[in-house]
Amino acid sequence: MQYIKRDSWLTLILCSVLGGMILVNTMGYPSNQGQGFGQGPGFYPQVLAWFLILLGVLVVFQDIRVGISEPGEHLAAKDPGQAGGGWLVPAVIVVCLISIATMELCGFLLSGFLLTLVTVRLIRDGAQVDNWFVDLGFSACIIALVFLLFQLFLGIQLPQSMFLL
Amino acid sequence: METFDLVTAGFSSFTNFYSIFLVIAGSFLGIFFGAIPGLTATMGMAIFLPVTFTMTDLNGIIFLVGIYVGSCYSGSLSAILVNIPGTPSAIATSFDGYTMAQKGRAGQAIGYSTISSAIGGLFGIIILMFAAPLLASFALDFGAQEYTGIALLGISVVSYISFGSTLKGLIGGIIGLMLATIGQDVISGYPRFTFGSQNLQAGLQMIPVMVGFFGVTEVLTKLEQQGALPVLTSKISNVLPKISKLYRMSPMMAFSSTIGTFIGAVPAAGGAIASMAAYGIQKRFSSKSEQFGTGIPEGVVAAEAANNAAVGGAFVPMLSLGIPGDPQTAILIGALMINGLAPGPMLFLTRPDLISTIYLSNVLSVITFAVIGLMGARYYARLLLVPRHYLLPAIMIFCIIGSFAIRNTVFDIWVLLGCGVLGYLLQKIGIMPAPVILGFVLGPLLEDNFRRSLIMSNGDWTTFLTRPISLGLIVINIFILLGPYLISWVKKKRAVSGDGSAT
Repeated sequence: MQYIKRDSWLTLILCSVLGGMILVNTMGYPSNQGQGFGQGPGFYPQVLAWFLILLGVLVVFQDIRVGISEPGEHLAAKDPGQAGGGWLVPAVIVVCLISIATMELCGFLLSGFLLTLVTVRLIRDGAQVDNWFVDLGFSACIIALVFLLFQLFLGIQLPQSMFLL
Repeated sequence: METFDLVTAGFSSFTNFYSIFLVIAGSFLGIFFGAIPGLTATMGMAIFLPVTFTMTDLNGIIFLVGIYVGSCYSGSLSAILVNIPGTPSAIATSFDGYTMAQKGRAGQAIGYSTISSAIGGLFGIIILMFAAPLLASFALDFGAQEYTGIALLGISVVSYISFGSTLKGLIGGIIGLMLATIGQDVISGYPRFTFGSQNLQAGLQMIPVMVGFFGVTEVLTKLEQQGALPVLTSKISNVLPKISKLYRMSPMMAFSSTIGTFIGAVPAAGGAIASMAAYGIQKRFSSKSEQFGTGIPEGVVAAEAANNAAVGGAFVPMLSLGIPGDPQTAILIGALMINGLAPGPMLFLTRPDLISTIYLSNVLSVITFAVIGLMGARYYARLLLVPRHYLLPAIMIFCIIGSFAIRNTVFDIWVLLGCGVLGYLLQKIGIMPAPVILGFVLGPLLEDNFRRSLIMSNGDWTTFLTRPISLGLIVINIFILLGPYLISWVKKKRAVSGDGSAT
């Protein structure tokens, strides 16, 4: 067990859960008995699911094999550490979620503007009051550019709000 | 169709200024995306793919090819100026290019890079013009079994060469294949994995998935990286190299271009492997081999000629077999499919104008970046100074709108974000986005032909073994996946038996 790396465990769990979900979900699919080959729409996903589970097991097996045959190499191998700024990714994802969820309510112009502004402020090192005006201006310019390019030039309608923003 | 006819069929596409404008605009955008570390050709093409919806299929392809070719060249600019390759295919360029810049010869390095990129690019296109029709005519004899083998070959190769382990590459490929099964089953029409959602009846759209995995995943990954802006210390002057020196290096350029074209033609290989291989081979056999890495033009020329020749090579399997040669041609395949065109051998018969347009836009893009590269070298340095707190949010906004533009539905933006987060989490455990996307692109081809083969043979799996080409492809697939393990096992056995006999 000590030979198995953390990301190999996670890979096995991912493959098992995903493969298992596919197998359970496709159990109820019709099998088209009597039609030539006799397998239905669930056949191909089931083949993929079994392959996925097998590969997950092989990843762990590979770690064990390397660990037993080359223990020094295994000890030298470390899981990559967390890079700096670990809170930034979940924060940006949450901001994106909120922006997309409110896009139909507020329209792209407003939600896109706020998304840009908030992510600029989150990413910027050393946020200061002076930067606010620059960041506001940048966010407005990006949204204006998108509006000009997509809606006016290309004729692609951007998401509009209930209040026609 | 004769090669000459294929080349000339697309001339009419370039008789108007709009098409020429698109080549130049695409090349400019490609140079921008390739020059900035963290932005990639794939990201640029994925983001601007929705912009091509309002264009004709020919103009859309012209634009995307311009971005592709421009970015393959410009990755060398940041590699030379600040030792941060703008694209993976420019890694080998930095070995000598940056050293030349440190010695005050940045302009020369950019000049050699530009000229060798242009020559390599043109070489690759010439090979493409002759090789693709030959392979396409051979592929017309392919049946469902052969196409199954071809699709598996694409996934096997990308798994083998993807960063990290082959097994994880395969897992990524299978996840991509699974994503492609969402929606109505092609053969029976039964809805799969739709969970009652009307939006999923037609399956996941290609653009949000691609832009999610290649664009949003990259943005999220870059958010984790901290660091100051690159500092430019080199002055840029004397860009144009001497003709006599270029003439002396012409055999090296030709050889590197050949290596690049053939490696580029291997599905999923790409410019990074082509440039590394060419650099390594030239270093091995050159009369100046001990000077490689110390800042000599030969090092820059070897890498750059190969990575741009690989562009032409990547088009060979894409056009003749419908298999992407690299992630960028996967996006081009997506663009063709969105326009209702199926890449493959039939395209040579039904749309010779499109094939020709691809050839000619490649040539025009090469000429464009060569001119822009030589004239604008000293201005590109400023591109590198765009702060990431402005760059990344801007990319995110373009990704969002690009995904929305396909069906005018916010659901596709959710798919974009979901794929971006999934790609980010998969990267954390060592599964790269490229195999996932290739699996997604090849999924319909694989499933359709796999199931048709079994239906036609009434469930007899030996149908894949009784046809010679199909059997050959299966053997190649097995060799690609298991070959390295077998070779390593044999070597260990020999080492052990060698130790045993010694004692």
